[in-house]
Amino acid sequence: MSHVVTLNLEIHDLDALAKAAKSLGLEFIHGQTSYKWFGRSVGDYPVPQGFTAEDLGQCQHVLRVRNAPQSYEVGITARRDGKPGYTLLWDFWAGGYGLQDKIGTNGDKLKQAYAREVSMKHEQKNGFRVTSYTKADGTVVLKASR
Amino acid sequence: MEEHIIEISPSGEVKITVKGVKGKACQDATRKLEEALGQTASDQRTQEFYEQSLLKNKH
Repeated sequence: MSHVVTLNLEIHDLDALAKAAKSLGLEFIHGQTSYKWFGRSVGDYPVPQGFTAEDLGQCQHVLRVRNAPQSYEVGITARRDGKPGYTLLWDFWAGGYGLQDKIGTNGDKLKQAYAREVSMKHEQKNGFRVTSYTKADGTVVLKASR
Repeated sequence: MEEHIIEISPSGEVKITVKGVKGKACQDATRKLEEALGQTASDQRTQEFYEQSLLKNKH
């Protein structure tokens, strides 16, 4: 091997996010400007960099759990820390009434599915043949070759 | 054969291993994918990375 890189994932590709969400049982609602949450901040957790408590609940698009009207939603909004890409906002109180089961604690399932979609798309677009499997510890492995 | 092994942990951390590409070309091989995924946290070069440079120096 010649080169091993580790990365901190960032959300840039909304198409890939929509596909990742669909694989987990959520739907991407384009253009919905508010997401379902408790409705007011109680100040028990910090808000993301560049956001205030008054910004919570507002977004540019939404991820919604299919067939679960009681579930909270994920708001997708542009980052406000000077970097390109999107921030995902959601209320995890009481597991978001089913939301956290879908996206995982800290959104881990959604992040993994998103990284998989972005990687598959990129490698296939560049002429690689891609195979995929999941290890016993839950790590998704993509092997791309040409 | 050029091979990329992309490992995505259950918490969303991504590790990319490149095989079959010698020298600095291996960094170019995955630069666009790395940019698409996010920010590089670490970058380890292995022996194969340096093989092309060593051959050039030898001659």
